[in-house]
Amino acid sequence: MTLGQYYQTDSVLHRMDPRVKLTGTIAYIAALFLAGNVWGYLLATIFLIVVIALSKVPIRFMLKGMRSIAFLITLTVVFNLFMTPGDELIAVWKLHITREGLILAVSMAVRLTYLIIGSNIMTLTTTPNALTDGMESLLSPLKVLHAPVHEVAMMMSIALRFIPILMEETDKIMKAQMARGASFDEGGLIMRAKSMVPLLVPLFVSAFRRAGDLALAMEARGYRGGDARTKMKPLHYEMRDYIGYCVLVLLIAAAIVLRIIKLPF
Amino acid sequence: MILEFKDVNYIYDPDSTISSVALKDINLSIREGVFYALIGHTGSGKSTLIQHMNGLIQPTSGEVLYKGMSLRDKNADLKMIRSRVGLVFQYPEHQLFETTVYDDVAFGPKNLKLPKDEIDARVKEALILTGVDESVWQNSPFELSGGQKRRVAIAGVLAMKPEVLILDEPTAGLDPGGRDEILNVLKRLHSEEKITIILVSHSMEDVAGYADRIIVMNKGHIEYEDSPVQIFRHAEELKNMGLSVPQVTDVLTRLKSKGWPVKDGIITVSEAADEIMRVLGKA
Ligand SMILES: Nc1ncnc2c1ncn2[C@@H]1O[C@H](COP(=O)(O)OP(=O)(O)O)[C@@H](O)[C@H]1O
Ligand SMILES: [Mg+2]
Repeated sequence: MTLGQYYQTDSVLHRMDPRVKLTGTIAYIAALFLAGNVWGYLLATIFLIVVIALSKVPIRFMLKGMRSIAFLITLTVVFNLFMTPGDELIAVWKLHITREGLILAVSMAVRLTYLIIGSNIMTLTTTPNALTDGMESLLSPLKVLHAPVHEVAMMMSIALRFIPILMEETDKIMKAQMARGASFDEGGLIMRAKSMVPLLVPLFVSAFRRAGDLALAMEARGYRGGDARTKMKPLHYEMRDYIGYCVLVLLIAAAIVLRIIKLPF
Repeated sequence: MILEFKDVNYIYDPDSTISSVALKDINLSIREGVFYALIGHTGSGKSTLIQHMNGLIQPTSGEVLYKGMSLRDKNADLKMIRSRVGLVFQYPEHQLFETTVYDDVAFGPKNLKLPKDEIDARVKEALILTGVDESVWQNSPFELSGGQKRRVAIAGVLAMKPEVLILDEPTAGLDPGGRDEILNVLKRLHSEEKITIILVSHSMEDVAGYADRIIVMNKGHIEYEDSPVQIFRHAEELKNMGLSVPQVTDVLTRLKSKGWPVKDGIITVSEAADEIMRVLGKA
């Protein structure tokens, strides 16, 4: 069972500080939405290709999750294609495809695809624990406002830790009930909803039992929340991380410049 | 022959980087009316093997037959087969969900769409067979003790009146009292109700006095399938598989090697006591 969708290998991106990668993902999304012409998209494409090459993760893993949002992309494209007013290119029956619609549809499809691939790269190269550590560190200024940053991060990493366990548990309980003649894929909507009861009740009972055990075990080992708690592996920046931040600044600057100045196309 | 395995192999997650071979070339016949013990070290494939027996898992290659019919067959009525081949999972109390003990045990028979009075009769019979006191039948199963919960869960499978009852480590995590209660229930089901039993365990000690046949698994493969007396002759090999022979068998083997004229094939404490008394001339 793999945790999240982390892809184990050794690359610059894998070794990079999670804070850089989190900031980088946000910066990349910003650059994507700043793109207003061919040059902006070219910049985003080049950046993406370089990052993919650096990550050493096979392409097919990047495209994971694409299938589940293929429907959303198709819907966006269709709506933009037919619903945007402007210069008519083709008209079939009552449907009109306009120049503006075509451009909008293509750019939305590119944006969504790049967005998915971009955030996939982050989760493929960063362990869930590193991600929550990075998030906690980036959000720590909010502690001044008494936001429970540490608690939220701790909850997230515990939740991530429990996902595979709960999945295993679901599989086991489902099989145990099937051994008692239950079926989970028979009958209409109401029948199916009812057939979930023998699965969900034991699952909740076990989740609560595990949560109780975990809380007890944590307190028994002296856990008292975030204040003055140190880390076993504190995050600290290396040379490559500073270079990473510089590249991100350049990316945003270039995206802004390409949007403002007048270029052909 | 109630269940048959023919060249069964099973691989978890075959297409991924984390694929693992759990069963290798399994050939096995389960005969009616026999009390089997399935023994093996943790991870040897016991749980995977028994989930093949009622079609919860289909083999990667090979076939599992129930009374000569392949479980892979499109016409195989898995729901019916699952009522004939009862499978009790490890920690079965984790599957309890109903508001009363009675209703939980009735879940299986209800799924079989039996008439109401038949369900009632089966629930009561199963609860009596497993020794669950009538005073708690209308209580919530979540209020019971660990050993009681487990017996309710076993009753839930028994109420489907299986011909074969398979139990995955039914004594795990119970105190000695709870363990003996469960094992005695199984013994009674076997001798009085004539149910074929397959008891999964990693402890020879637990099964020595109960099983007619012992199946020993090691690394996804069946090493031995024989009577307990024969199995315990392989003390050395068993040790290498992370298993042990019962302590008394070990003691008597050592006495024999020191020149005591004790018999072979002693597997329970009371037999051992009698034999030692006999040799000492006090019987
Ligand atoms: N759901 C699963 N996914 C992947 N591998 C599994 C799964 N269940 C068991 N295995 C693996 O299959 C092998 C046999 O496991 P199992 O049948 O549970 O053994 P046992 O019950 O004898 O302890 C082990 O190596 C285990 O890691
Ligand atoms: Mg097991």
